[in-house]
Amino acid sequence: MFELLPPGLIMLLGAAWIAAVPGVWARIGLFLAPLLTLLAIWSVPDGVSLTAGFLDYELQLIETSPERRLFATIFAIMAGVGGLYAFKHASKGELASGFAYASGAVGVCFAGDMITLFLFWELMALFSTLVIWFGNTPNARAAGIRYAILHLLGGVILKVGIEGVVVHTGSIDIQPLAANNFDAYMMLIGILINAAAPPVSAWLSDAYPEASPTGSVFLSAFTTKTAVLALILLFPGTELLIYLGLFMIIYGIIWALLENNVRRILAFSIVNQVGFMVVAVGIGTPMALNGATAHAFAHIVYKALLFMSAGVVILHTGKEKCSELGGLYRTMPITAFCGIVGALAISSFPLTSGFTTKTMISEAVSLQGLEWVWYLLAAASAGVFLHAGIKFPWYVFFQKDSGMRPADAPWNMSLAMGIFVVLCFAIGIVPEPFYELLPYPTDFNAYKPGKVVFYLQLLLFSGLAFFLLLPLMKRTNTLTLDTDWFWRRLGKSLTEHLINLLERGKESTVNSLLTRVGRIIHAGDQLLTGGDSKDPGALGSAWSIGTTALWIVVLLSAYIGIYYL
Amino acid sequence: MSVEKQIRNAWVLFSIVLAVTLIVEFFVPGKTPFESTQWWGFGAVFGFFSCFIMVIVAKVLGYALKRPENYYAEHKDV
Repeated sequence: MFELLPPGLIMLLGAAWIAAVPGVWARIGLFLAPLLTLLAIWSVPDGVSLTAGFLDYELQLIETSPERRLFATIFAIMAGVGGLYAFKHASKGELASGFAYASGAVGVCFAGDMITLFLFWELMALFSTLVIWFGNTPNARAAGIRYAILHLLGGVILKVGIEGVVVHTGSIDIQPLAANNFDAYMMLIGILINAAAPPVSAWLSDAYPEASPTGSVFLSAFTTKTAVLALILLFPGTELLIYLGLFMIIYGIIWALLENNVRRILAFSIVNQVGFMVVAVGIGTPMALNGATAHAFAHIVYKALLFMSAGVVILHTGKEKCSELGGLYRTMPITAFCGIVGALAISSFPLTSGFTTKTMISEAVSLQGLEWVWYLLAAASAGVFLHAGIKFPWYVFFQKDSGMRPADAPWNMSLAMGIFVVLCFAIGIVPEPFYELLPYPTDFNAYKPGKVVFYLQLLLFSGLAFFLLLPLMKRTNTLTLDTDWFWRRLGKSLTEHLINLLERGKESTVNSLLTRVGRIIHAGDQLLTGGDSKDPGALGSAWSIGTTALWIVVLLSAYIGIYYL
Repeated sequence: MSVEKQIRNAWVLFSIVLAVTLIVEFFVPGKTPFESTQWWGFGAVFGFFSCFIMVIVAKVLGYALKRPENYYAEHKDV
């Protein structure tokens, strides 16, 4: 029966169930929806298995391949374990939104055509915004609006690209595109906005830490990783992605080093880790795409684990600044242990999932002979250990004694973290069964002795650097400027000036200004058409769809921007 | 045990671990994929100095980019 029901739809029905029924029944939904979704994911055969007609197009609601299945699997697992972690503290609305958000992510995984992809893409934007709003603070509301604007804008840009590709190629199929024309670039930009690529990486560290401690666990998983999957399916081997990815990696490290807020540190390290995947997609060889897929899977697990550990701390202490935390290992040994495992995994320490997946990307880079990229990735691995691997557990659980003695995680949160700890070690210690699931066959061996020694030296000596340089990294109660300054500060003050100007100016001034503008346009029109009203002139002639759509995007986004600032 | 002593012990232990990773390298071939960096201790030197550079870069950028927490108006209540 499951072959005919899109897995994303099962999850969406689960979300509706959680929203509709009371208490205990909703909890059954939290458990059953991810389980049934997983069953559906694994009973769908490869290739296209469900189609539907829409206008003149044949939508492919379910198309499967190994990478799609693997991404969907981890999204479903994430929803299930996230639900277990959150159900005692999160509101019904947050849980339902989290599941609907996950259903969008699963839906994107199976979308065989660009129209279906777009629908689920927007579903994610909608419900992820709700998850942020369930943070239920003025900051969460403001950050949610900024997040929504950027993601709706990204969605429109993606749509412009999709329309262009459909008009010019006549096909709605999802297949690798060459990034060498306007349509493909629009699609690439739309996807990269969701991947938190520069210059808009700031949306992620702005919004995710404002959600509730349970909400940010859901947020950490879906949006950026569906973007990675979309890049794998649509733009493998696009060289530009190598440079963008490297930038994301370095940016994530530096901004995380400057940050004081625990969840914001973790948010920057999402950008950093997605950077590794984007580099891999840019390389585009089977080994690299295996690496991107494997790393996305492992990353979702350990990043959720880190956010879960941070979430327990925030729920039990009410604090989330490094400068106010410390010494919590005394009363929170389970949370500290789980946080440390997550931190070791993100640093790709041998025996953890980060090591067996991230080194696959490095291997792909060295096989292509990209020597300097390899060195940058190695330096970045050291940097990850520095900014997340040691910094997070050190400031939260060790350093000075903050005097706080909070209780450890409740059973459901401990169990959720425990499941992910096991997954981190399982993929790290016995990676072979996991490699079997990857899109391309591989005999990759993560544990070559020389390589293990190299990474151990690299990581441990960056640990030495951390402790020697601690005085340079004194925590300050500050935020760090980012590109969001342009819309949160510059854009806002420009708009305020404009509004002031219009309000202060007398109506007649505005009127005469408008009349003057009208005359200029009229004169220009006369000039262009030679006074002949039958000839439409340059401004009146038909524009290509791409240009028109671009102008609509510009106008709409300017309008939305000004409206909300 | 006093805190100072604990910290000293931790440093001793950490130093031993670091030394072991360096000693082991005498017996293990093929450290990096590239000929030019297969020399002894490369991983240690590379790890240490990349972190050193990143911390310094962050520190310098911090002078230019750090702002008080209430810099954005809507963050007044933080």
